[in-house]
Amino acid sequence: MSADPAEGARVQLVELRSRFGARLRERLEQLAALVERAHAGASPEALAEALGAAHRLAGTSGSYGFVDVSEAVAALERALQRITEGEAEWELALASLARAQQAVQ
Amino acid sequence: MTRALKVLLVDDDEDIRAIGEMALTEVGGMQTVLASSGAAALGLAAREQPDVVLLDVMMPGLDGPTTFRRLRDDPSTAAIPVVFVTAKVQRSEVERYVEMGAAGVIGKPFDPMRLPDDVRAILDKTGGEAPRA
Repeated sequence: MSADPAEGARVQLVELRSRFGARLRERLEQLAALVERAHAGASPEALAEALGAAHRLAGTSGSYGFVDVSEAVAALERALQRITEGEAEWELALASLARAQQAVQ
Repeated sequence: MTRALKVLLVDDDEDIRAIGEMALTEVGGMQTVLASSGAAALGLAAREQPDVVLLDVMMPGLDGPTTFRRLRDDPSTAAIPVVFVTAKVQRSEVERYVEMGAAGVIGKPFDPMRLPDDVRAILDKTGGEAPRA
């Protein structure tokens, strides 16, 4: 048991990060499925769902210290936002998604 | 000995609640109450009377700004300072939230080791009371 509260917190942070990291690939796969559905032109709702999922994962992965994933997913979120606003940027969105997936390999 | 600061953390993402609770409790020595939605936050804020609410902006159902207005409309929660937690920390967005009456804004992603200090700094600046809109 650690006597230093900050050290104890760091130990807990490492454990939380490890658990989140183990689920990160699965969360990216879920995000990829949403993006693919939106790309296939399913519906505006599918695009909104992908955008929301990208927004959440960008913030969460960054808070857990997965900076490369967070930045790539944030770029995906920005691209999806522009697509929502009528500017076609699927190439950038898909490239950002691929970059995020590579970051967890 | 001073009473631990009581924080109501509102976020629909379970992983954010987990790391936020760890940071506030273990790093900051604060008492943490968790809510997974804006609707749940309204009841918890009234019952628990936290010293501050950390409120995610983008949530399904009641989003952050709507939850904030409901908190302000209830006399039992109107004076509780609210800090928005958001990825959108552009100056215009921050100004909009402060004009609404928020005590401050914390960017997401956040550094869990610094989160408690960021919360205290905002409360120190506002004197621990909800600013008037």
